[in-house]
Amino acid sequence: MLHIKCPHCGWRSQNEFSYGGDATVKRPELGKEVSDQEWDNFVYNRKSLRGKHWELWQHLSGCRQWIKVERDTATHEIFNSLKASEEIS
Amino acid sequence: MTQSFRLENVGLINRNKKISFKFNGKTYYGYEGDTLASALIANGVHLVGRSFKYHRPRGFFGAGVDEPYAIVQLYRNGETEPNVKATEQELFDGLEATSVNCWPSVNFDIGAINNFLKIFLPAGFYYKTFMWPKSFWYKVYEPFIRKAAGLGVASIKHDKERYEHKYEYCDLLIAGSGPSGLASAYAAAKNGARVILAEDKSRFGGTLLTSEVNIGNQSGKEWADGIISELKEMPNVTIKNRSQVFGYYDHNMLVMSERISDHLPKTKKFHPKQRLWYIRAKEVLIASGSIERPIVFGNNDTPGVMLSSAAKEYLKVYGVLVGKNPLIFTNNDSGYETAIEFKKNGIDPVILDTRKNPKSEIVDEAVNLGINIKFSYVVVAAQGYKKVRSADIAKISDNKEQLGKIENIKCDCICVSGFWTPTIHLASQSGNKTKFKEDIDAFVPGTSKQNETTLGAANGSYTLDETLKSSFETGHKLSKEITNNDNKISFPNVIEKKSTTHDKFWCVPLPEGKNYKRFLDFQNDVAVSDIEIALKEGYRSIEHVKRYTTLGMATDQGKTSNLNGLQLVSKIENKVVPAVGHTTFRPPYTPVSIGAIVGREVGKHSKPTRKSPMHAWHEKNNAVFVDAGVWLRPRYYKKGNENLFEGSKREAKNVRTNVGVCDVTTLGKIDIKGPDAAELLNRVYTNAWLKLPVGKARYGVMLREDGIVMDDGTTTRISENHYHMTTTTAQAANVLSHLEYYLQLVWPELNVNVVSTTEQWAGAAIAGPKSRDLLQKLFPNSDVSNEGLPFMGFTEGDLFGVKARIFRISFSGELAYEVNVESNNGNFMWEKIMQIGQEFKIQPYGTEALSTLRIEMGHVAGSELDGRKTHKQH
Repeated sequence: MLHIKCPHCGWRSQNEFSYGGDATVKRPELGKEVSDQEWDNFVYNRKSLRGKHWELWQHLSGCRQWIKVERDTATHEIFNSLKASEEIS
Repeated sequence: MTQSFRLENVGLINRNKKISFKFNGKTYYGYEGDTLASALIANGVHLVGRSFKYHRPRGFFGAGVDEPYAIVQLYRNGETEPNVKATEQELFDGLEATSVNCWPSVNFDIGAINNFLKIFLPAGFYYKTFMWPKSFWYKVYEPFIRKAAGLGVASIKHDKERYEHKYEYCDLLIAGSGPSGLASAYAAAKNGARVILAEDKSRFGGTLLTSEVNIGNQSGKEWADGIISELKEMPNVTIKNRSQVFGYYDHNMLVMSERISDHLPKTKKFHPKQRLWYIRAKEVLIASGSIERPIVFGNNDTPGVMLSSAAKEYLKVYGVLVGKNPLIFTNNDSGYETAIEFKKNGIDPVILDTRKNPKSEIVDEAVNLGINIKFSYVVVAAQGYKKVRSADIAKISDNKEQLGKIENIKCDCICVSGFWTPTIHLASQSGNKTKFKEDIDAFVPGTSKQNETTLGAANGSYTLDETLKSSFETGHKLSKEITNNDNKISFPNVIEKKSTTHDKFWCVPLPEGKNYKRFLDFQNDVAVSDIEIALKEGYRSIEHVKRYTTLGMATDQGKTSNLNGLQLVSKIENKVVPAVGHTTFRPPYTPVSIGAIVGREVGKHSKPTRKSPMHAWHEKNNAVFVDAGVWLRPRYYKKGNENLFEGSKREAKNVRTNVGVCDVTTLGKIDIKGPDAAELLNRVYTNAWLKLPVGKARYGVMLREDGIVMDDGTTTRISENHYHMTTTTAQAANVLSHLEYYLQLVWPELNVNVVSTTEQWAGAAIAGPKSRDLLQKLFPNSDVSNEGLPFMGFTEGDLFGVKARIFRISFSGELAYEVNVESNNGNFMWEKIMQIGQEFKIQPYGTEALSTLRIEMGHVAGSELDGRKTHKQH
């Protein structure tokens, strides 16, 4: 079971969180004309990286905040976590 | 029966408490503090089972978790448990156990005919012998194999015992209470670190209980007892015996199973049988010690052949002799320690040492005691069927390939020592890359991946002085980094006898013209010849050899067999052992009961059960309930002998002709507030929301980003910036997360708050042609006429002093309303509706009638929102 740092609550066990996918994907802007390819890229196309990767988690059984977590998909090492409002640098 | 193999005045058992137990129907006696194994051996019982494949007689091989043979079916307090190791099971009054894997009895086992048919049961026999004709597999072969093989029988009764889970954090988790575990725990505890010390046996101390050493002018056991009693007094220390740390998972999370009641005749009231600990440790110290490995020789599975360390443990801990005429077969000094213990207790052992001329303090002591030692000698084969009667021995050449003349010597047990294998399972599970240590012929932990350190014998360090020193230092250093305390501890003076190097000898060659079975894996009956066949047939990877031959795949997971298997493969392949590599160590280290893994989540506790405030009323009125997500909802209200179809038909018909009431409390409810609330709704639903006036509701469909319908429901504008959203029962939690996702991540600029209010409101749907008449009587002060409360209208009303929300919403296409009150008034509302509704012939209706009504009207029914259809397909 992973140990995830919630930027609001501190270190918590994985069973308090739910996984939310790639955190680097940006939703196409509202009202803008979006091609099928752009939408496909937003909804489906993922790189499935082996290694460092920013992903979304929601602290479901805690503060209910969506957070961004940098994790190594091969080793599970967690490097960093950010609030939803913080930009990935 | 007398305990004729029990010594007087030796051992740690409580001789004041005699315990009676039964094995295979016969009554025996042991003492408190015995294991089932030690008590049986004390009574001279060495035949405990039959082997897996050939049904050869099985005795005892070890004295702990490494035991491959002594697996019994245990009976305790009206329950039965399979695959219990007799070497681990503590004796309790009234214990009953039987042999497994034999029929009709352990003494006369029909399956033993396999022993003579063994030519037909080579490696991979499952894949070969039973292949033709194909149709025979299901009907003939499989049932036969299942009956003939297999170990114990699982109980089919409901397990009445309680199992618990516990979550714990600590600074240092220390697995094992031998010298390294105790020393590191003590140093860390003195620095104020939060320490958990776990020992799988009932007694703390590990090898200190059996070794002849002196620590700070005390015996090893006295020193261990002193440390333990001091640790027990410290508030920052948790020490647990009968607790096996069996798995090392990600982020320094370890799982430990604590056997709380298994050693008692029955579980105490309010106590669990076992407890599973999930421990998140800052640092883990692996002090799991090492396991002696056997030397392979002919018929080395005969009862009476056992590890020399086990023989010593039976003698020193339990005061039990494994034999009165012992033969010690060793390639290192450990065998001598066992021989010396026998000698001190008036038994004359014979030592066969594969080494030519070893020189050490221990060897000298054995010589001085006058023990008969034969150097450059090996056991070629054990003789005897159900118990060792003698041994064929021979001199072995310096190159260890030629045997001299075979001699036969009488003995009643053969204690084998083939040197020590570090228990690296936990380290390996943590992701540690193991490395092969030439001087001990075994793998040890290499580079750590997580915060784990392996100490003492588990790290291949076999001298007490070195082990204690490094363990004190490690415990001190790691705890200092965590607590910043720096309490120095004086290091005790250690006296131990010096030993010399072992002989890298592990397998006795077959003598000319003999074809003895030489076993590697004792539990799965894998012999040297099986590995040879597998390699001849082209299996190369050690993982494939393991699966083809089943080497190391039994409940003992090859604790005594893996390294000898590797030695054999590397010899045939002409490789070095590290080039062959070892198979992957996976949790659990020892078997864990399913009950402990499941914990309290059994039956109705396997998920939460949510009930509406009107649940008691439904029960009283013969509701038949159905699971709706985690909720219990009335499916229909049974009248007389009605079945589901008849009942739901009656209820639906009454809605169409009169009026019905349905409990809709379970619908998800989300309170939405903020100046941008309408904008949020406009973005998450497919339809337009900006122009919804206050006091009106609208139906909306919510999509996932991939266009699949996620949910539907109505949302009502309560006031300018306040909306009340309803969701389907099943999707309530997901919709809330979905909204939070948009508000927190995608459109943080929207000024909106969302919160779940599902449990805060009780809801009743009133439907049918007479619903308005009923509503008017419920709310005499409100105007609920078609003009006053039009379709999709909303108003607040007063229900006999209770504040209520009234929605004109139809689930089933009828004239219908939904009334919400605060949950604690739910039952009051429901009873009022039923009471006043009587004159309109009201009947409650359940989910079945609700679905019928919806489908009749062409509405989407809940089960159609299956995550597979787009908006258009609905």
